[in-house]
Amino acid sequence: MEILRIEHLHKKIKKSQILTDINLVVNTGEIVGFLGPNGAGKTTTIKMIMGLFGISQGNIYINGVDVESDFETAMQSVGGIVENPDLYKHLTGYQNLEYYAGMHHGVTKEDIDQIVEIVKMKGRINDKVKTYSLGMRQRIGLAQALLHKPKLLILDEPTNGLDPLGIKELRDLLKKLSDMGVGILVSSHLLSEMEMMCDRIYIIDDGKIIGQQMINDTEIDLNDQTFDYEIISSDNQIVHDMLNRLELESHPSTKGVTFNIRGSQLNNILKELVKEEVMIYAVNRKQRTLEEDFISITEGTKGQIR
Amino acid sequence: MKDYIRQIQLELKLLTKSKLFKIGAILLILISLFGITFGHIVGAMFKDDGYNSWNEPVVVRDITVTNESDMFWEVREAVNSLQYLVESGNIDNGSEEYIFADDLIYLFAKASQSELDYLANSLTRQIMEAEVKKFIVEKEYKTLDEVGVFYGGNANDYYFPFSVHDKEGLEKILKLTDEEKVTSIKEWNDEIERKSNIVVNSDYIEYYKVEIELTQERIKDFQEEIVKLEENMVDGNQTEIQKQIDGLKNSIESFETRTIPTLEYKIANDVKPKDDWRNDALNARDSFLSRKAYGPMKEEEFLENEYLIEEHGSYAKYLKVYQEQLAKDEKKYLIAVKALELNKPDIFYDRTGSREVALGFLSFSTMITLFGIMLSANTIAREFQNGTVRLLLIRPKTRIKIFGSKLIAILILLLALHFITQFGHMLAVGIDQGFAAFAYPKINPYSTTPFVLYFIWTLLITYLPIVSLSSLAFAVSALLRRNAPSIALVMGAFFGSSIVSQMAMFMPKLSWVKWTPIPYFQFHQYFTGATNMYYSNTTTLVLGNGIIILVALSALSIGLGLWNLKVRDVTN
Repeated sequence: MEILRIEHLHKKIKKSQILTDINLVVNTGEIVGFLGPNGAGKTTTIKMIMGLFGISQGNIYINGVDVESDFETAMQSVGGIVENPDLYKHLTGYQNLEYYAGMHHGVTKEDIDQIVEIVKMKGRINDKVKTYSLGMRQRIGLAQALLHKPKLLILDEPTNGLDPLGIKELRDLLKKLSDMGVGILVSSHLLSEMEMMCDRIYIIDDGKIIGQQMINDTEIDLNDQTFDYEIISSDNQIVHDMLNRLELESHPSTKGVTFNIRGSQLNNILKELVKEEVMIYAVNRKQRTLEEDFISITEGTKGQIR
Repeated sequence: MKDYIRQIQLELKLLTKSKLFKIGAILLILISLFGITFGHIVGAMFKDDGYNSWNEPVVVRDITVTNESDMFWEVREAVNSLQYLVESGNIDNGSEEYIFADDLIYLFAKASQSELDYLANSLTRQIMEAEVKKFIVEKEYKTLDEVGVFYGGNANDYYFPFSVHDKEGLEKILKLTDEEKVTSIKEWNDEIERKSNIVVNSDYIEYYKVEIELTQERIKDFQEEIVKLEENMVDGNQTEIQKQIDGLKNSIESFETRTIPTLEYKIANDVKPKDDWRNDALNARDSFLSRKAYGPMKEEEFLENEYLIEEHGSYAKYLKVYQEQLAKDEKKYLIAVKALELNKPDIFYDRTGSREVALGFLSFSTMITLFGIMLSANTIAREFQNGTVRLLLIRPKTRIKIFGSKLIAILILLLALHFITQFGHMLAVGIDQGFAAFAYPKINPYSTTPFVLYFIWTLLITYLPIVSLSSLAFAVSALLRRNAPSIALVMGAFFGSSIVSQMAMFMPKLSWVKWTPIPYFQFHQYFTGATNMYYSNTTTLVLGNGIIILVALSALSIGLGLWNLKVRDVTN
């Protein structure tokens, strides 16, 4: 079920076209990444979803409700952080959460306490925010986003300021939330993070969605698609010669020989090698990394990966 | 609506936790509560340092006259004059004249200690005049030259301050026969004795009786004068004489309808000459009746007065202003009459009482206004400067609801602060000067209002500049989204408006400012009359106009501010 749908979204500020024809969907229980270099339009899109920017053209539906025509209802289903989680520094963490909770219906003190436990801030929750580290503010930022049990969670660069343990905890939490049916949209310019966190990724550059990628895709057709394979054997020269005979290009690798074939061809090659009495120690299919995909997709665009 | 109330409650909670609000509110409340105590402490610290060469106390034999006495300057002048007359050779030190003059100074110094206040001054001057006349007769002077320093006519450059100025009267005295001298001395002695008794016993009732007698004599003199003038009236001088007769008749009417009844009222109601509000009320009553009886200036007279022409432009405009002023005076008159009837002072005729002090403190609303500007600009601009607006506006509330609630919360806190500081000060005044006067009502021409209710009304009116300037700061901070420039801009406008208001009092060309909010930013002056503005023709404060103008400014500011916040993207 769709929890977020963006249709033909455009944003123009003065004469500059910031976003062009953005189409995006987040389903319940799905973690969707929003990947792109700095200045690509990730935050602008998120700000438009959250009502911080006006919509020049197009529609945004949250839980089926149009953000423009019924903002209050639409926003009841969303929680999030846009850019940095800037909180009221003169208040304690708890007072901040209390204030935000008051702006939603039905959030109880128990709910606040529970969220504080989840983000592991119990020990410092009654300290003034001005004494918090960036990581602690991120945790409170996440807490305020989850206070009202939203159906859609939008996080803009959520790992900024978190230590490796914090990042892992965040990953685990997002996984848990998605298991509970929360749709999550996470923006980042860090590929490794996206790879570990998301089920699906939209790649944005120069204000346009230029690609979509599944992560950990189990439905790839191994027979029809070409992959890089590596065979490690007792005699790599025989392997190389045999591939030449089959008119396949091969290259020596550290321990074996690599070549590019369709999955359906692999079986025949292995049969031939067995006939040649070559001992096969390992056959590896090399997966393309997200980074490689990203570079190939953004090749020729102005975006630069960091 | 419920949603709004809930949001306002949240904003109130948030605001009261801010450092700016806590410090500002505590400071303002402390000033309102302890300002009077602080004033007393400072006053006591500098009390003894008040004298220098020109206001040192004057010692006359066993009497010390300090500058706290209303007669201090006159006593000082008399002492200095006598010394000067000796130095300039006009009077010999130790001579009979010198001793007599010295006795007169002592008499006057003694009067300065009387409880009769200004009546003692007036009576003692009458006593001294009788003493001087007696002295002249006893010394058997024959010419004005012999009278010397005790004649104060125009030709005499060297005269004693308590001398006689009436040349004709003196010449009559110089020519008295022996028999007449005996009679006159007896009359003067009687007068001296009667008036001295009044001064010594502080018998103001007797004084009023003397005044009535004198007024009746004056009426008789004027009536005789009128008969003489009518007899002398011939063709050619008719207009001029008629003018004189009309003047005398007006005076007689004034004596009969105002002076004497007022004195009779004072006798009947035991009105003390000092510190009795009824004197002010009676003065206000009489001065309005006089003004009304005399009417406006004639056109010929107006056209001869360049200053008035410059001030009003035309006679028609002068008449309009005159009528407006008369209407105001009539209001005061009606209040005076009602206050006298009820025998309860209105604030206007009880200027030294606690109520006046309490109302005077309405000017403190200016401090709340300045605080409101800071609080308002800070609350909105800081959301953008600190980035907290990004977490604020992603709630299921419209921007109008969020920012509207913030403004309402600010205005509620300012209203509370305005009331707390004003009632806090009222409490301090009550402790310092007593609470009794607060029980008197506020008297209106045709009704009365309990003072506390009237005070609440004044607080609501003086709350309007606080609302309008805080709303303006809200609009400016919504536009600029920066704290410091927003505060600087609105405070600059506030102080600038104060300067323009002051200028408008003296520059008729700036009279258009009365149609702007400028003079009404100091709306407290409508109740305190702290400057001439209340009385000035160019920028007279009109209650209804002020309310409309300030409400319009507030509505416009709030509308513009909210519209700006609603439509603009949150870019920071």
